[in-house]
Amino acid sequence: MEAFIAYLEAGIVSGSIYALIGIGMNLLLVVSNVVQFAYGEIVVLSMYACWFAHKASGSFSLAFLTAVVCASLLTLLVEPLLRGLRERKLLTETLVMTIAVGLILTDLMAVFLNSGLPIAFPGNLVGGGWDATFGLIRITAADIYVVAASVGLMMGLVWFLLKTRSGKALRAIAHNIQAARLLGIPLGKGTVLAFLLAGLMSGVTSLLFILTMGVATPELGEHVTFKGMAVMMMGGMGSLKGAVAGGFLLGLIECLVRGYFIGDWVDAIAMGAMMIIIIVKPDGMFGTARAHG
Amino acid sequence: MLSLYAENLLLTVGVFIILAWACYLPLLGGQLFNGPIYCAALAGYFAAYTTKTLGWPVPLGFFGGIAFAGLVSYGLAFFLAPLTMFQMSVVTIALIFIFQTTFRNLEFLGGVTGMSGIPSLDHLLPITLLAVLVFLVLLSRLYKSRWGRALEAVEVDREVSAAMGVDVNKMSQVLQTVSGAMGGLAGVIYAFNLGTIHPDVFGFGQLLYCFTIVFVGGRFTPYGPLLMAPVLWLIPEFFPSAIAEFRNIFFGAIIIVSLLTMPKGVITKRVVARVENRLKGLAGRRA
Amino acid sequence: MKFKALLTAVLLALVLIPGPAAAVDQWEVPFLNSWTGVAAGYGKLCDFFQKYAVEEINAAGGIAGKPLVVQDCDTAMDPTRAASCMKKAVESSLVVIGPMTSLSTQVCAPIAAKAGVMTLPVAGGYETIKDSRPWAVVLMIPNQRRAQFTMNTWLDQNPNVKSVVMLGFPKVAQWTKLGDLQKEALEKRGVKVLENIDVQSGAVDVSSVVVRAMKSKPDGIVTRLMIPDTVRIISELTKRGWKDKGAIFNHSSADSPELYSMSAEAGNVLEGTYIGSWGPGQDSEAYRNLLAAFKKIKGQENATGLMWGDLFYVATWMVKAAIEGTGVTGDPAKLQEERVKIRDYINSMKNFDSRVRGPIDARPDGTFTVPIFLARIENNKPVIVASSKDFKE
Repeated sequence: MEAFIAYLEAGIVSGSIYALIGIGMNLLLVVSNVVQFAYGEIVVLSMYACWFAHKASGSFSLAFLTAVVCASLLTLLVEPLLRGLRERKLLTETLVMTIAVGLILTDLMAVFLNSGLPIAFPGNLVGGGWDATFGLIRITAADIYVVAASVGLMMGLVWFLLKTRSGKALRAIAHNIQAARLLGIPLGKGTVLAFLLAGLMSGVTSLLFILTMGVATPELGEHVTFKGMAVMMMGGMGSLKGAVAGGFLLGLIECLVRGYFIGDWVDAIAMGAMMIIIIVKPDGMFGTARAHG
Repeated sequence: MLSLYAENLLLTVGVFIILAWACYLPLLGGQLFNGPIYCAALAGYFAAYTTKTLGWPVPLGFFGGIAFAGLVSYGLAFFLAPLTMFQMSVVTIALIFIFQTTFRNLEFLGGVTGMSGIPSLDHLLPITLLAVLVFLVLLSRLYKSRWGRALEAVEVDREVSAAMGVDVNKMSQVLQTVSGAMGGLAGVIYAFNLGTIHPDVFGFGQLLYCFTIVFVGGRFTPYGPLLMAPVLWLIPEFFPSAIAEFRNIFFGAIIIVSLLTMPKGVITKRVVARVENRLKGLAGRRA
Repeated sequence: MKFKALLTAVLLALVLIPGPAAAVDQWEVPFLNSWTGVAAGYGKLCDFFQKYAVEEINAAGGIAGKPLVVQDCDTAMDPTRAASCMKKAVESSLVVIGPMTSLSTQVCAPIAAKAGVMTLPVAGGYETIKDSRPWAVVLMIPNQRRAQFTMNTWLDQNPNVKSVVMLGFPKVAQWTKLGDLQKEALEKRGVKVLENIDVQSGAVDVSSVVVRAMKSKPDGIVTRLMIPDTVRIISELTKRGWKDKGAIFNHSSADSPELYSMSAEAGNVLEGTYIGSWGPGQDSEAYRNLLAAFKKIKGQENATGLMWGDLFYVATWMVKAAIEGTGVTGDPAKLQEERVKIRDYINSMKNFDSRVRGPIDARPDGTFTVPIFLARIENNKPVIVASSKDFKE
């Protein structure tokens, strides 16, 4: 029973991170018609930026800020590349474009950063500096930060989308782009705002990875993007609610499979669960045919 | 007499052309069907196991692999045919992972080591080139034929097409079966060329690579993948070794520039029509 | 139009059809390695060692008076690319060095064997070359001996370990096989293997794996993991109350300078654990010079030893020894005959001076008697406890 609770706890923590990744990717899909396949690489490159900043300055605050700024800038830099494809609604082509961006970013890390070798963050940072252990159950400060940050960001995003003018504009664009245009909503600014929000979320995601994983490798980006895609597909492409549900479901499935079954089957079982969900609910758990949250 | 290297280049390019076409074909009917990837693995393993372990004659293993992949695809098509584009994409991606993990955990198929020492097939290169030629002829006729127009109609609007009498499910089943068999062909060529098959070869990375070929080359005609498969394979191959570390960056940049300047792919229907008109004009002048 | 067609045909012929080989005034040896792809960092280190050997050899007069020229081919961590590199390499070369990874070796060694060219993939593991014998060798002791040595000597240091949990990355064939052999060795010593748990690389969560391991209440832990996962898992074990660090064993593929630097960054998490180490190298000027040069590479400043990549250094010197020892001329007309001579020479090497790992012998199965060590990690450095040279199975 103790082990089961420990697995659940781990699943909730990793699920929180997956939910954030899914939300960031879904935000871009629903507002900008972009499948951002370089999302994971941007997260990991921001981790590297944080590491270098900490090495150079010795300051965690500066390093964290560097990560968030790096993620935001990189996400914004990708936007012009996708503009033409977005406007033509060439969704799969945006996927291919971002695959190419991801390839470049991965190679930058694998060839030029830290001589291509993995990086580790200070031990006193990973875990958040505090923990409480009850047998096999261990809750760390990082776990609390992760869940709090994820929930906080999700709630903040919901508030922003529902209560602010810019947020309403984004929702309008997501709902019906032509109507939004007719109503005078600046589509360009809206898209840039969506990219900025997604960038900020990926920056925060990179910090959460630092607190929980404590290491980064060039190939980690591919894993992160893959999780994001799985969350999107499970929860519903473009559904923010779905990303939350899909994220937590994926996190729980992974931890329970690792705990009770053969670890090598984690991806296959997660994919199998995704397959069943899609067969039963064709647009994902919370998706709609128009794919908006 | 071709060198081993040249022959391998042609065979590898042939594999990617066929695999890309296998992904392209269902797209004509509006389906994002990723089955060719796991069908390639299924066929490759079938051919490897039957020829190496069971001692079947190599040609039997070759054609058996293709048939096996086609059969599996046909069987799955009964479940997959009614699915929407999104559903089909998700389900077939899931199947790639499931098959990959299964192969990795089956000891009689070599497990995580895969299978090597697969016997070779005589005349593999002429067979591959012939297959490419045959598919080129068939596919170039398809997209201009009545069938091709029906596929395009289904791609535009599935419900309307069904209402106008197109048997959408049957069409989907046929597409998937043929696509799966083509994927199987790519798989057996790969296995017999390299003499090895491994669980990691036909996975998500391979799917993304095929997508890149199709969408950068142009997904509206078969000429796009035909052109782009060799280009995308050969650029890294002939990249100067002195600057090898920039290879992937250069490769990524080429894809980005292609999509920026030609978002519908390098070869579109308009390009094909222009070339055809020009050729007709030249032929007319000669006559 | 006709001229264009003719020109195209001529150009194609030039590219595709092999021309006559040039007369040998230098030794051209292909080197298959990964300069791109996710493991490019390790590929660059392997390249450093290989090129260092080439420089040394050429500075000392080359091979039989002629310079050694390496033809690099990037396998990009992709088995299809690796196969392409090997098929290019076997066209006219006497011998091939590489490729780097286990999977590339699995694909390339059979190609080399079929073409009748000796290849030195050095690190792929016996399982990756056994079907290609005698045309491929690995510069390591056989996994059987490696498992026996490391498990037995580790248990000698930890007599209280009566049960273990094994944690392994499931996607590298050689490591999976090593895990089976480690299990055999442990059980032969009467140690119970409670679980053999797969650990995926790059997973966000490792705590569920650690909980599962600790749930069985083992006395010891044996890991076969990627370096970042080794650091994470042991860190998590420690934070969850694992006290006896000596009862944790890490496999030798983790023994690389960045393991220790990552451990140091993470708070010396590996302190007191054991590792199958590549060792301190031999006490020779060549080793000292190589280590000094290695430490000049960014990120390796604190290296106390080399990593497995130095086997490419050894392989390059082996090629020199084989060419000079057999007296081959590089004459294209005698290519196949000379390839057989190189093959037989390398497969029968006895007491070969590796310059950095002591004298080594070729074994009948294609492995070499390159020593491996049991080391205890102290102050983020491996401190040698036992050598496989002294081990009797």
